[in-house]
Amino acid sequence: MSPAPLPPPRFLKFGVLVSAMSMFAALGVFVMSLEPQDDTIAGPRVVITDAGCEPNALDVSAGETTFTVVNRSERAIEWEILDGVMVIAERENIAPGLRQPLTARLPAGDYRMTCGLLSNPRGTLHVAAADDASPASPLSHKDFLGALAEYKVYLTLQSRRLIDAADTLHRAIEDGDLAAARDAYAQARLIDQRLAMATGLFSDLDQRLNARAEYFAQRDEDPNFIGFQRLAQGLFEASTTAGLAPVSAQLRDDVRTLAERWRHQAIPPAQLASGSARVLAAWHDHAIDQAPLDARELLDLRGLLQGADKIASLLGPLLESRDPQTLSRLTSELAALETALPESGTAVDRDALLTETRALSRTLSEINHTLALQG
Amino acid sequence: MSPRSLFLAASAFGLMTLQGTVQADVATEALVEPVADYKLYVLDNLDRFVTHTQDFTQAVEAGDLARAQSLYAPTRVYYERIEPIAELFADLDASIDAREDDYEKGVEDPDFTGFHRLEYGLFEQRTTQGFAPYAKRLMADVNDLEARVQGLTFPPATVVGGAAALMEEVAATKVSGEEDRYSHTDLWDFQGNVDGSQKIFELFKPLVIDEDPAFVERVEENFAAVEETLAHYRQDADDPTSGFVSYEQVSDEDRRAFVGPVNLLAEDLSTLRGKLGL
Amino acid sequence: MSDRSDNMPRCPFSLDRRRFLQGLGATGTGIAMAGLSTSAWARSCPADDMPDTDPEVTSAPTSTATTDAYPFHGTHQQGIVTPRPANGMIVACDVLARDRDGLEQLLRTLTERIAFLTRGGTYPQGDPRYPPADSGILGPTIAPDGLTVTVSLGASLFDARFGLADVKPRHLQRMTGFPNDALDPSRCHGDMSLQICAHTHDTTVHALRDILKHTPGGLMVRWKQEGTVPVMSPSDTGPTPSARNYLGFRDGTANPDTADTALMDALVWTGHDSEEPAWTRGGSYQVVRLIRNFVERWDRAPLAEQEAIFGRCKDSGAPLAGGTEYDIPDYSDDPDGQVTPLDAHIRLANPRTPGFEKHRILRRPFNYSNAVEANGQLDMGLLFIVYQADLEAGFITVQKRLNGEPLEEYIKPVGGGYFFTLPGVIDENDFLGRGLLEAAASHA
Repeated sequence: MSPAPLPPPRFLKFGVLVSAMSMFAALGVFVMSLEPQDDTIAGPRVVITDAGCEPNALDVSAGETTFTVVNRSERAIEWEILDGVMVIAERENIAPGLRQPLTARLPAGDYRMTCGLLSNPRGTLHVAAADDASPASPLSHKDFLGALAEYKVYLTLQSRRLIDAADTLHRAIEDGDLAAARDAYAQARLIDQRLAMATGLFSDLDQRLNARAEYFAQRDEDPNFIGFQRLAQGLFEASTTAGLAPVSAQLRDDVRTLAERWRHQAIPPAQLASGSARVLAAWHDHAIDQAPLDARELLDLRGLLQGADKIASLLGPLLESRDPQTLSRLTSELAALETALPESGTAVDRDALLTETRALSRTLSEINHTLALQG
Repeated sequence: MSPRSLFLAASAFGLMTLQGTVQADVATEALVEPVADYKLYVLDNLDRFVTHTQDFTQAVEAGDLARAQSLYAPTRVYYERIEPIAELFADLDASIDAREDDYEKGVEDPDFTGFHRLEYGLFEQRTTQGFAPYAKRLMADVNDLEARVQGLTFPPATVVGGAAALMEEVAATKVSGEEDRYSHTDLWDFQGNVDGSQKIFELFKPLVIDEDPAFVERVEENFAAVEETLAHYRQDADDPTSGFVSYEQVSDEDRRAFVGPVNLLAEDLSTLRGKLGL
Repeated sequence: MSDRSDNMPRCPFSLDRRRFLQGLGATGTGIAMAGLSTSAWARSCPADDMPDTDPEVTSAPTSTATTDAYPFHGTHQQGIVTPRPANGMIVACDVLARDRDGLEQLLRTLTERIAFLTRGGTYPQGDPRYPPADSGILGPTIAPDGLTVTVSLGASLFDARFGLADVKPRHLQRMTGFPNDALDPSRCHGDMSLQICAHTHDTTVHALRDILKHTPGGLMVRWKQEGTVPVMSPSDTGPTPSARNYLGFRDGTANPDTADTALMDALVWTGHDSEEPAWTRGGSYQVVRLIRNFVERWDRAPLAEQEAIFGRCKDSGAPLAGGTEYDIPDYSDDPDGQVTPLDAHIRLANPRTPGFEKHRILRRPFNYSNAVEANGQLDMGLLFIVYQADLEAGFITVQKRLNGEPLEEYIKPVGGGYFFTLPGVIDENDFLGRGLLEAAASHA
């Protein structure tokens, strides 16, 4: 029995890898809403009006489908594909009059679509089994077992901290201590954003915790506008804790509900990467309209990055043999974003942040295809 | 036929039918939660292991022989529970838990460190003199272990296989009393191994009980038999959390009484991976 | 500390354990076999096939005797009057069963395993995710290879645990030390002994592992001693001489003729004595002794002294009085031990006097060679095994006569035990010890 030398922690690899690859990633094509659109795009087309989706029912075949989402409503919208309460794919912040593509790999089954305002009726999406077989030798779910279990541990440990942080936040608000409440908000929100991918699995809780004012009919006056965004509006814009106690109390309850649901929720392996890509893209799509980026946007991004980093550490081993190039790109993009994300008080290179976030999101969204993962 | 003889009998013949049968695969998704719960169990025990090791090593460093002796066994219990994971780190397993037989020069070997090195000092040489460096090293190793386990994605087959591995551990070194040869606190370790094995079994039991209720019943009865014998040797017979008497006080008959259920558990639990498709 | 692999793929891959410790776990391993489903692993291991080439250094040694098989069913167990093969071992066990039903189950399992092992056959192929049905050390199909497994019971089995006290064989008792003995408790006694003999050592090891795997809650090994006897070419002229022990002398020369069934009934098989319980009929008393030989010292003893100690010529095995190995010595014209000392081993063990016939025993020993003693001397000697119809009249009487013999300077009995070898298993419906258990049940 001779002591074996221990390998360096895997994370070191992330840390030391040079970011040369990020140049390549930044040059990659990322289809954004502001880019010119081509009317000949194949695939189903969904038009969102003030009243809902047209058509309100879609039929597609299993496999990769590119949806074109056209916003003919009066305001920016988000469009999501739901499996039960779980968000499978989404596109955020589609400006009025514009369209955006959304590519998703969907297994056969029946799904729902959100159609603009949260109060609008939901559409249905039927995915028929496809004839063509999926790419050769897909990994089995068993190969993801370790990663999924480890992610579940992460969720459990982080949600314990989130509950503590939410309690602290609520106490500070009840005490009317604005400074303490702002600190507590930052603590809780950072953890919340780490877990954004997993929160997205539950559209109801995600809405209660994270939905922005613009998605509600009466915007920030809407009685359903609660959660972190509501608290942030009070603490950082109105600069008062007044009236926030019911919101923080609700948030305190909601994070408990969230933790309880995670306990028994099976997370589809494909969601690890595509969900992380989705929440980063959502941040990007929102931030691209914000100039300059404020401290809260940066806080959110830091949390999202930490969450993505965890996912990357879990999927890294699988990627390493399947597609080392993707892994090294992912690694360098994580490092690049980390570098671009400033410590508080320093200057923000907004363009770099947006570019790096976009690149990372895109790489994450490709991972499932690399791993031949569906669902 | 008494229930006990039923299970011994069942196991004697049941093994042939256990082996080689292909059972319906347990849905992989169903394994995520118990594997995750097991890591939480390990982290919880590691946390307590760190705390207890602090107390133990501080007692050694402070030269408090009696206190260090009394904390030796209660500290090790947490390590013994999580051994399937802890021993994945071969270097730390060696520096924390190796026995003198693992070294060519035995107790004189400069690489012989960890619990058993301290055990030799505390119980054989009856001194803490000169053992502070070993205590410091142990504390550092235990902290290192905790950090590494936190970052480890648990290999599911190791988790499931751990149930049998722990019973193999009992069968190999605990029944003979060679693990804690100076302190004779083997029963503490014994209980730790059994706890750890039982925890894994309990976590995965819901996934196998419908397929093979007889297996579950047999394993539970054998765990009960081991616990029953262990209970005879608690310092306070009425307190299931109290410690154990010296292994020297365990009768030959009871040592033998451990062997049957322990071997049956090792044999039965060795099929758990197969039952879960791992 | 064990090195435990995870999700270890079968034949084609080896896994660098350190790799998966990099915080990655099973997913890392999963990669190594990406694209191979479980059934694919199984296919990657072809069935056992023999390369059709000239023997290589590591080619298995060959033997034409692997198909030798002794019928398991019969009035007596095999391994007593069965010709002694080159390899044998005694495994003394404690029985872990808690009651008579558990004991019956154990005996039935032993019966079933021994019947299979001594006949040979193919093990079932199972799901590779489970532990295999067999150790596999002899491959998926085993040949009998002259295997015999002989089951005997120690006196301790007849204690209160199983309620067998009333039907204990009359002479069965716990072995007690003789004056020259230095018995090591860890190598003495046992509830049960298994005598496992075969042409090759690995066949005996395989049988033992098979039996232990099938009786995990039933048996605990107390001690084990393996032994061998030197193989000889068949003799062209007359009987094959007896094998030699580690003192260099032929052993077993004076054995009673096992072809003489009447003699066997008288000397070896129990049950002709009306005082024995009826169920013992067809059984035998087995004595096992681990007799350490001080071979370094013996090898430095003058040849004449060695021959005087044994009473035989070392080279030929003939009695000192002359003739060949099989000539029966006649001490009547040597009353003072001028030719064959009075305390010579063979003269004490069998004085060839009228009336001594009933004390003869059937010797079936093996030589053992273990590790090395702390003093650098070889730990080797005789795995002494004898059978007799009456333990008192047999071994105990003979050994008492040998107490104080000059040979004691060179030997030291250190372990062993007394056992009763169960009668044979008559047919498929019978099992080892059935008569004993039925007798105990009707006695209650």
